[in-house]
Amino acid sequence: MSRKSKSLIMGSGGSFAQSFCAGAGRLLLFCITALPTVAIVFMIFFIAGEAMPFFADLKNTVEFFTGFEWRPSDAHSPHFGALSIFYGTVMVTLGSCILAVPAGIVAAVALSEISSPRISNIFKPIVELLAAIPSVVYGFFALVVFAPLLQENGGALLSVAVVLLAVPASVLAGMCLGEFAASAVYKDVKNPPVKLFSVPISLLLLSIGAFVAYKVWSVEITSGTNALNASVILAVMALPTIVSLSQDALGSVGRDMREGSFALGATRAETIFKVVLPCAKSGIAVAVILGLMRVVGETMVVWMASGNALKIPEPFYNFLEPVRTVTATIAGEMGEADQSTGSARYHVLFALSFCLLVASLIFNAAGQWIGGGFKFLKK
Amino acid sequence: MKDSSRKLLDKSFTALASLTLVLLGVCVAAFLAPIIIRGVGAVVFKATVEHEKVLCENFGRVASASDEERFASSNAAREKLYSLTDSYESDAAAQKYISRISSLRDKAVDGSAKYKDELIGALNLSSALRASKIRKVSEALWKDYVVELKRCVKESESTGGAYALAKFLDSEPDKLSAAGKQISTKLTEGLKAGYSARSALSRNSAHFAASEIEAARDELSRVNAAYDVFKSGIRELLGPRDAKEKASLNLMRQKYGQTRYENAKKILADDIETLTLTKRDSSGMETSVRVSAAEQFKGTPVEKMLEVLRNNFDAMLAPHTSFYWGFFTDDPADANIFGGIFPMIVGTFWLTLGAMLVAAPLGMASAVYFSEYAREGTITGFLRMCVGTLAGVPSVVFGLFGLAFLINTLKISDGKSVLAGSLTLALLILPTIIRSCEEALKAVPNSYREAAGALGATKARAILTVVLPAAMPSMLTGIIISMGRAAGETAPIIFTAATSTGVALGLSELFSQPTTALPWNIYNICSEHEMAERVGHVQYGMALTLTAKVIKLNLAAIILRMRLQRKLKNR
Repeated sequence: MSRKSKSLIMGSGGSFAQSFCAGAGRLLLFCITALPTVAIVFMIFFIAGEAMPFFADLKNTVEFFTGFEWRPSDAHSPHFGALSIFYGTVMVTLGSCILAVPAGIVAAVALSEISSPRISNIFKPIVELLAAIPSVVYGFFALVVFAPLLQENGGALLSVAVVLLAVPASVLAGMCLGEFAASAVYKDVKNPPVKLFSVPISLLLLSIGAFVAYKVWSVEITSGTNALNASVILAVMALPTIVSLSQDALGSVGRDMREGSFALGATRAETIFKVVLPCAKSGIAVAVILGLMRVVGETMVVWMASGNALKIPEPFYNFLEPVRTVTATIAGEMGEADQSTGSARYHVLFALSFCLLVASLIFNAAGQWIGGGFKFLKK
Repeated sequence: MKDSSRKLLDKSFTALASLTLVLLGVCVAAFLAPIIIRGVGAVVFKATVEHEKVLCENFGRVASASDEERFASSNAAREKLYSLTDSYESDAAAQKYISRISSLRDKAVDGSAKYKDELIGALNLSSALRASKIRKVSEALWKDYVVELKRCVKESESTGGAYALAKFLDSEPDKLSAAGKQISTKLTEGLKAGYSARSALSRNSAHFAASEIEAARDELSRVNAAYDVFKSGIRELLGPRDAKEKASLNLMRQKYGQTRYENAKKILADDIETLTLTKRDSSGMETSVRVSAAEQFKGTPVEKMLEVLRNNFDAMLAPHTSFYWGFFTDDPADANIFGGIFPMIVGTFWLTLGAMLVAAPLGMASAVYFSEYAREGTITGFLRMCVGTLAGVPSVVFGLFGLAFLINTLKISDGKSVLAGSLTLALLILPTIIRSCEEALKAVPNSYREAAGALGATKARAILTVVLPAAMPSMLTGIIISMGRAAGETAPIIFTAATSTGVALGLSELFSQPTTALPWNIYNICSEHEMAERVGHVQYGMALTLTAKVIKLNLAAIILRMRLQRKLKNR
């Protein structure tokens, strides 16, 4: 009885055996917790170790970062120029960012600020579902469903997309620009005829959109597996990360901020743009970075959907041409290279993945820094 | 800004945001709809009689009475077509041409007497001139024969019999050389001609006809090529005709016709009603052209076959809606064209199970440390950051790490194995599990811990008996979701565990053998299968199986969470 009452006093411990067990258990838990850290260190060590034989040769290293010719398994004159591979990754990542970042942030705003809780509750599982679908299924969709569609009706699809984008964009832009123009022309008038400006501007923008859509209609896509396909699917994959993390960030903005803004007479849109979004910007930045990391590191979708052509598209911004990314190169070529461990190709693939690892570490560090993960260093 | 336009802007922004949500919904629907609709088609589909044949002969299904009935009725319907092809290919179809050509051959031999003087005279010439002279004479001798031959070839092209005629003409060169010999013996009878003269006569007297035969056979083989293509289309559709032919074929895909009605219809349209022929243009280049079978065979007996085929198409294949649950329990056969996906499902199960067995306890332990023991400080912050970093490492890098560390350095197995794959996957999902478990533990109210402590429990005891049970449901939610992730990841297992073909592994083989797995095989069957059009249903079926598995897990997690929320609310 007395022993049990003793343990009530926190910290003074029970018998020696008891405190020893507690200490050992704690140590064990600490060791397990250190496992991810050990894993990271080992990962860097082993990937760098396998990449070292390649980087040890300066000529190869220089060619790796500056050359365009990639023939790693050529017996006579192997070439390791990986620029076009890096370019493919950058291109696909940028493409999916352009699609996913605005859509993701707007969707997050819509879910956390605009829609009713009931609709938000419906969409939460949908977003989770998108996140849960395996990447190979996305790749399957890209290759088996989307690529033939793009190849056969590419122009029509693109112009529908242009119309979908152009209509709301031109209406909104027309309204804003019309407001500016009206207030600039009628400086002293109290109620300037805004419609006089906004309607023509909207119509002008709309007609430009229509013209682009018409031009795009006749575009022929030679191969359905191209940078556009990969970008679109990757954007859909990055969407859940961006949406749910941005939603968290928006949700953590205090209610008092919003109420204060409303009390000052701001509309909901103004509150969102001028108060909520600036408050949540670091959280949203983290969301975007994590979404981006998912895109950069994604393997199956780009392997299946990007066409795997070893060249820089012509012209360089042409998304309708096939490209090849770092991850796809590793996945595609390691299968043939790993039988002969120690070959130049094996090591250059590890060099590629080392670059990938470093990039992800940098991205991650940036994300943690913005999100406050480095606070422990300042203490 | 004017108030009215501010309001309008506000409203239009609301509209835009709602539109984005609608678009998101449409996106999900457009993504899932084809996978679900066509994926279900792997199990529920209109099967032809060939499907039952495959099942009965390869997957141990016992043919029921209705199966037997369908076999019999479809065979009877096929017999109609086969009797047509038989009669088309039999000698009888070309009998009139054969008899005409044969009789003219005999006539030429008989008529050689007319040219006796010229031919015998030619024998006296020098050997170089002799051959050309005899050939010149033979042109006149075989003129009727050649004219008739050409006419027969032309006629047989349009009225049928070309196939039988070609078969007959195969033996015609021999017959012609025999005829030459006959002529030679007939003319030199009683003459004192040397051996060389006789052989010159026998070799050259029918030379003209023989060269024409070659041209005729070329012509006929061009005509018959279309028929051969047509026939191979029928074989593709219906399978080999009898057991003997079946036994001579090696690949399973050749042994059976189309098992799915939709594929059968495609074969009918693409390979039978339109034929792919190689045509030689004027410059000698061979190009393949698509021609309509109806036009190609217009006016020939093949047209009738086509008609019989079209009219009896359903009777020959006996399509009926069938549920093929074996898709989930049968081994694949002949590169997945037949059979199911059992080994892939089992492989995915083992990989997921192995990853969970390793990652779940470790993750829970780390979470307990983070939430219950760790004091926020430099070390804890660093550990926490490493968890975040590990979560951000690309999955393909995990695969390479597994290859370089687990397989090449630790040598836990010779080459790929389920063990290596599971460990790699475990590492991959560890951060997710740690985070979600930590969230769950943090959600347990502090009063629980204090109450346990007040009752005299040590910290470890309080955690084991009070905190962990309270947090368990929401910890499970996180673990289940990461299980879905482990099941669906492909890149980490490419180099550590996955193989393209194989059977389901038993428990003892897990430590040394690679396995097939759904994610890897989805990639494989989509990108590297040589007959992608015949395995479309398997592609969709696999994708749906994997998606359904993951969605099922997520659904379970969501339901668990909802119940939990309700419980918390009621409290």
